[in-house]
Formats: sequence, structure tokens, C-alpha cells
Amino acid sequence: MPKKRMPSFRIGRLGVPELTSLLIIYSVSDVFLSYPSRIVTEGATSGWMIPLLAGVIVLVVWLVIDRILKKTKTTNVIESLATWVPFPLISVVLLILSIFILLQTSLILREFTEAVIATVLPNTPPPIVALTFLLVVIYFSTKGVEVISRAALMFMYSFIAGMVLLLVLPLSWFHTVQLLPIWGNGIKNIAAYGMINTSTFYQILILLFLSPALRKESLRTKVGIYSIIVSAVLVSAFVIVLLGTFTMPVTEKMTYPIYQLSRIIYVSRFIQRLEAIFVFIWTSAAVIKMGLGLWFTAYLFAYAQKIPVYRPLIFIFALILYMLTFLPPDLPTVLSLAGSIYETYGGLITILLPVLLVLFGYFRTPTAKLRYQQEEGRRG
Amino acid sequence: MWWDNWKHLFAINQVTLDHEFKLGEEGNTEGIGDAPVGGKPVSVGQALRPTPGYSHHTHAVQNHFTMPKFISPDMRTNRVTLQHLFYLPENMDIVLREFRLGGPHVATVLAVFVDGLVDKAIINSHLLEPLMLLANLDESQPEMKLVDWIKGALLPGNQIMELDTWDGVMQNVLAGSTVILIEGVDKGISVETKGWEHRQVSVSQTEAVVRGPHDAFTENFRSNTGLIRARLRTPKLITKIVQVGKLARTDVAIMYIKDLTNPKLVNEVLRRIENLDVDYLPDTGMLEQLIEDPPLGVVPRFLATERPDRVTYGLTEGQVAILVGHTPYVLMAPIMLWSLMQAPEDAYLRWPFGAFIRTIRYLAMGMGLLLPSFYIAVTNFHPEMLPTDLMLAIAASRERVPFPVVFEVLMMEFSLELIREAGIRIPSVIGPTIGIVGALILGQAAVAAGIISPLLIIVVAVTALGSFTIPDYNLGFTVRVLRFGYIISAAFLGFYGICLGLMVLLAHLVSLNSLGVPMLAPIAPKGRSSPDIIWRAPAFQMVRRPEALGSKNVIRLGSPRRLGTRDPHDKN
Repeated sequence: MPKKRMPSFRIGRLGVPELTSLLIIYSVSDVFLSYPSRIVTEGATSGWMIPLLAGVIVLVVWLVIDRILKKTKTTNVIESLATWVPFPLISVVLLILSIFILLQTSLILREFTEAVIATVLPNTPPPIVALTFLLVVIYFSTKGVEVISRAALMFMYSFIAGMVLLLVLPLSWFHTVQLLPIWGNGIKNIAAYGMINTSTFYQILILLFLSPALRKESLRTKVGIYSIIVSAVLVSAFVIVLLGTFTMPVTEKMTYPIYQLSRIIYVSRFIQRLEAIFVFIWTSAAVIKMGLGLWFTAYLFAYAQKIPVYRPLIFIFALILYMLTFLPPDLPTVLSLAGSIYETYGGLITILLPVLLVLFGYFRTPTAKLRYQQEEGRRG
Repeated sequence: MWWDNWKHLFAINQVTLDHEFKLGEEGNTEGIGDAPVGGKPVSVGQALRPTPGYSHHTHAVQNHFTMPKFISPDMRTNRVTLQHLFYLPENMDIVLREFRLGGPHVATVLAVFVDGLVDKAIINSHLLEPLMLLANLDESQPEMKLVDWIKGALLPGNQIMELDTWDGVMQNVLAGSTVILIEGVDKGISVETKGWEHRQVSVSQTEAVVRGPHDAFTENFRSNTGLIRARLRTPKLITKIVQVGKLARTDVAIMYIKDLTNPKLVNEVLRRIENLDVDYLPDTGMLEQLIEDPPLGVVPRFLATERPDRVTYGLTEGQVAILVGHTPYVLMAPIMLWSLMQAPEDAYLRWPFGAFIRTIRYLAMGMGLLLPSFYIAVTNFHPEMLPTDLMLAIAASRERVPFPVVFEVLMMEFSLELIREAGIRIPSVIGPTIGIVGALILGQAAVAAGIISPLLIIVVAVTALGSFTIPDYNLGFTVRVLRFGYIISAAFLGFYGICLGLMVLLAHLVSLNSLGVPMLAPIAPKGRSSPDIIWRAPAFQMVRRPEALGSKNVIRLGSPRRLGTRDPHDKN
């Protein structure tokens, strides 16, 4: 039987603004769900420092990884690994990544469905909400990452405008004193949770696979830096506004704190209760995030199994996603899974695994060997 | 009796059945009669009527005739060939006019043209008169070749072409030229005598402006190319003409500017048009549907305009213009979605006004697309968004209405579409009636009957105004059709449904290409362009052509600083 070759998918061209927008939306959209209340629970009044610290850590890791990739002249990590690692090993790594993203997407879909029902469509059955949403997500995924990234860029303008409005309009309720004590539960606590929350930054993982679609290798660095900084600052800004508006004890008990934030907006008789408007931003961001998640799942799986096409897999994974979504019995279980497993140990996949892959490559690629031999030769 | 006129046809058939022969074989022209020489030109149908001395061949002749490729020097053979080429005498508007050439050469000449396509005054004064009468005055050229003499000295027509083949004869005659065949010469001479009736250049009907030129394309192919060339006086403006259609050919012109337009783009347009396998191409609307890619979707991928100034400007941007014969609309491609929302006037007005009306237009499009669905979403799902007083007012106005909001909206939108469609189809004499009927139905009567709420009339009216504001007719249709989709999605899922619908539309739009150029460029994908997308910047800042078009020269204007500081006396 002839040996199957590694598939080579045409994923189109991605520009810097498109990919940066996509990465920002992918990382920040969690803020519309229960993520901010968990940060406040972890960091108390200093919760806003956690995303900033996590962002700094991820940024440093990214700069190191990027430097190594440049030194080893690696553009496509998988293809580079395939030259000296047996394919079954690569296949296992890709399968782990694919399953991780699928499970994470299913958790978010469930949380999102519950959020829509709890906030804007209280009388609609959850399967209807999830199914209609999933149909749109499938449409996005089948269009491919190029279209998803362009849609992300188009949406980015209204996303940023909505974020700014959401941060500015409730300021009449803001009290700076509610941010005190400034260090919350202590610096050690901030450092520990800062490290753990690096799991919510997916930039490194995604960039490892999507950066070959950029026009130049040097643009990869820029995309990583911009997206990590903007994501960290946006999440942190939301936590500051939530703490200053609702106080720490109230925020940590809210299931959807950003929704509550939009409910209290009252600028005048005609600018009030804008939560329905913000449904647009939440839903759009969720569509983009889950569209990419579903696409990534199918893409990585096809790579892992050497399947020459990935689009047909999207429908299969969408069905699995729908089933997984309703597997947890209730919302508290979903929140518990998201907080105690995904956010706590997700960093192993989103940060540690890319680091290991790249370091492994650094010490095994011919360039590294050559350099080692040259150095040995110089030493005599 | 009415069938008396047709009796002779049966007689003809009888004759030919008894008298079969194969035409196209050298010298086999037996039985071909001569058309009247001189006198009143008659159509072949008349000329070949069964009179003594004439034999005619219709069905049987056509059955066995082998069409020669080249023109014969024998006039009888040529006549028979013409008879079969144009299905004579069945075809009654093809005219064969045979006459004797004056002057030193004694020859019989046959002029072929289509009645109705030619200017008879040109034929009389520039063709028949010189050949029959003025040829006698020139005694100096007997030693010249006959064709050269006729072409050089006798035919004052501005476009004259020598033809060798019957295909050329056919194409020229059907295009409105007159072809002359001369006894003893195996060539034909085509003289340009086009002169069919057509509408004169008039005011633009669908893209009217206050400031700017008012002329519009007509149904005359050559007038249309001329209107463009008159504005764009450069030899680099290239007009390529191809013919499309197997049954009947239609001229299709592709215009572009050499050394500016992306040659790959021109080749792609040509490739798509030349590969068309259609019987007949009636209009640019059909061509657009046949060459757009992907073929499905509700968003237009070409800009159809009837304004020469718009085409001219598009050409200078690096676009390609496609003209189809007898169509007053010209296609421009590639386009971006934003160009469908732009009117020529935007550029002619000062930039704040241009930017202002463009903003109004985008808001109007948003209303035209989403206002009814927003109304449904707010009243059905999210009433908390409204201030209490307004909410109570809406509730009070709907108190007497027995229908759900969605039914009310659909009913009104359907009525509006009826009025719009009837307004187009109705004869102009009774046109004002539709306004009165519409106002009565949609207005006071419906409210008084208690089947709709007064607020909904405002919503529907503003929606209609919004959709009328869209400058592109095709995009207006897109908005009209999609509006119903959003109404349905809002009825089921409120804002959530609208949002999902908008995301589907967004994904569709970002995936669309117009001849390979992304429709949402230069926003997504991000590209370099002048500030002329949603808002319009001052004219002196329009330095760059859109990068996405791939023009060879991206800069179209000197930089503002240079323009501002340049010394007018400095020739360097």
C-alpha cells in the first residue's frame, strides 16, 4: 500500500489586521460569559492585574518562540516536525489539539446558549438556540479561515466601538474606591493566577498553525505582539469597570457580569437598557470564535489522519459538537468544567505544548545540529 | 382570398422538386434568373417571384446546397449563394440591388443590404450615384484593377473593407453595411452604411444627478463607445470587440486603458466572454449572470451604469468596461461593494457634502434592510429597550390591530412591493393612479380599518425611502429581498435572529469576489486606497487608485504637498 503523504491544505492568505482581529476576538470573547467573575473570584480587587500579568507572560513566551522559529527558519511547525519525528507521534499531538479545541468549543457553545436563554430569549428552547447558532457556525467554518479572518476584521470595528461604549457608558456608577485594596489577595496570588490564566490566550497555539498563511515571516511577530497586548488590556479594562461598578463581592457572584453591566446603562431616557444591542456584539464574537474553533478541529484532525480534505469533516464535528454541548447536565457543571479544568490546565495545551514543540525542533533541526557542530569545532 | 398570395410558393416548390441540382458546383447555375437592373430597388422576395423566365429554388435547393467559403467571380453563382446565405426569398428585408457600373469598365454590380439597418441616403448618394453616374466622368483609370479603382476613386464611404469570404459578407450585411459584388471579381467590398433607427442620447433615467453630466448611453453600440472615447481622449483607451452567440451574434466590446489596467484582468474578462456558449446575448444583464463567479448569490458582482462619466472614471481607476450591442447599460468590473453605494455626484460635490450624502445613504440602506425586522424584534422580544412612554404609545396604537406584528409587517411590505411593481409596469398615462391607490391602501384606509397600526406606516414608509436611496438598482433588489429574510428571523428569534442573519451576510460578502477582487476590499482584506470608501475625503487626497484592482500605476494624483507648494513658473 503506498505511503500517504502529509496533506497540504490551501487556507488562503491572511493579512496582519485580519489575523490580529481574529486572535483578539478569539481570546476576548470569553469576557462576555462567566470568565470575568472567575477572575474576580481568583484575584479579588486585584483581579484586573491577572489578565495583564498573564498577557505579559504569554508575550515573553511568544517572543522566545518566535525567535527560535526564526533561528531554525521554521514557517510551518508541523511540516518541519514531520521531517524528523515519526508521523504517529505528530498524529497524536494533533489529535490531542483537535480534541482539546472541540471540547472547549462545546463548553463555550453550551455557556453561550444558556446566556442567550437567560438574557434575551427566555421562552425559546435551548436546542433551537444552539441549533440555529451552530448552523451559522458551520457556514463560517466551511467558508474557511480566510473568510473567518476577514469577517473578524469587518466585525472588529463594531466590536471595538461596542467595547468602548460598554466601558464608558456605565462610568456614572463607577467608584474608584471599590478597586481597593489594590493588591487584593496578595502578590503571590496574582502571580499564581496570572500564570494559570495564560491558558485563555490562544495566540501562540493558533499562530503556530496559521502564520504560514501570512505574507512574510516577520509579520508573525507583529501579529502575536499586537493581539496579546490588546486582548490583555481589554479583559483587564472590563474587570476594572466591573469592580468599580459592582464591587468585588457582587461581581464574583454574577454569571454574566458584562450583561449586567449593559443593563445598568442609563444615560438618558432614550439611551437606556441597551443589553439587546450588545447581543449583537456577543453573538457575532461567539460566531467568529466558534467558527474558527470548528474549522481548527476539522483542520487538525485532517492533518493528523492524512485526510486530503477537511471541509467534509466540519459537518461531522458539528454533529459531535452539538451532542457534546448538551452532555453536561446543567450550567453550574459547565462553569465548573470551564473554571476548574479548562482554565486551570488549559495552559498545558495552549502554552506548554507549543513551547515543547518549538524547543524540540530547535534542538533537532539540521540548522541547530550544524550550529552545535560549528561551535564544537571552534572549541577545538 | 388571403391564400392567393401564397399560391405561388407551392408552385415554386413543385418546380424545384422536379428540377433538382446541386449548387456550389462550378458552373451549375442553371435556372437562376436575373433581378431587375436599375429602377426601384426591390427585395429579393419580390424580385424572385415566379414570373416567366425566372426559376426559383427554395427548399430543394437548400437541401442540396453546399455553401462555398469564398466569393466567386461569377455573378450568377454569387447570387445563388446569397439566396441561400440569407434564406431568400423567405427573408423579405434583405435587398439585392443589381446595376451596371458606369465608366470604362463594363460590369454588373450587385449591392446587398438589409432594409431597416442602413441609411438609404448614404446608399443613394455615396454608393449608387458614384458607381452608376460619376464613374462615367473618370476616364483616366482603365488600366487599374477594377476593385482598386472602385475603392480608390468611386466610393466616398468612410469605412471600406475588402472581403474574400461569404462569412465576412454575412457579418457585414447583418451589421448594417452594404456589400458590393462585381461581375468578374472574386472579392466583395463592404461599405459602412449603418443607419438604423435608435434613441438619441438623452438624460439618464436611473442615475440622475443635480451636479454633473446628464447624458446617458443609448441602444446604439457605436454611440456608446463614442460617448466614452469622447471623454477619454487617449490612444491608450483600447476597445476590443468580440461577438457572442451561435444563432445570432451580438457585439460585445471590452474597453480598458493600456498600461494601466491589469492585463490579467483584461485577459480574464476576454476569456470568460469568448468561452460563452449561448445562442443569443440580449443584454448586459444576461452577460453579467453568465460570467460572474460564483454564479449564485444575491449581491451584484458588476456595476451596471448608464452614465458615460462613471464608466470613464472607472476606466481611469483600472476597471474594465463591457458594452453589449443595443444595451444602454455598461458593465464595470471588478467592483467593490462600496462602489455600488456611490453616486457620481459624490465626487462632483465638495467633500463634506459628498461625505454627508454618502453617510445618509449608508444609514438609509441599513434602514431599508433592517428597520421592519428591528420593529418586530423590539415590539415582540425586547420592549424594555424603548422608553416607557414610547412603548405605551406603540401598545396603544396596536390595541385595535387583530394581527400579530409579523403578519402586519409582511402584509404591508407585500403591499408596498405590489405598488412598486405595478408602478413600473403600469402605462405612464395612468401612472398617477397608482400613487393615489397606494396612498389610500397604505395610508388612512388601512389604519381606519384597524388592520395595521399607524406607527407601522411610518416604519414601512421610511424603509421604502431607505431602499429607494440606494444608487444601484441591483443592490436595491438585494436589500428588498434580504429584508424579508430578516423579518422572518426577527419574528422567530428577535435580535438574536437578526444578528445571526447579519453574520451569514457578512461571511457571504467577505467571500465574494468580482473577477478575483474581494468585494469588501480595501477594508477586508485590508489594502491601500484613497479615503473614498464609506466617507469621502477632499479631492486632492485621492492620490491612490484602489490597490485591489491591481492597476499598473497606483498613483493618480500628485501628492497634496507638491500640488500646494509647486511654483507655477517652475517648469521642472
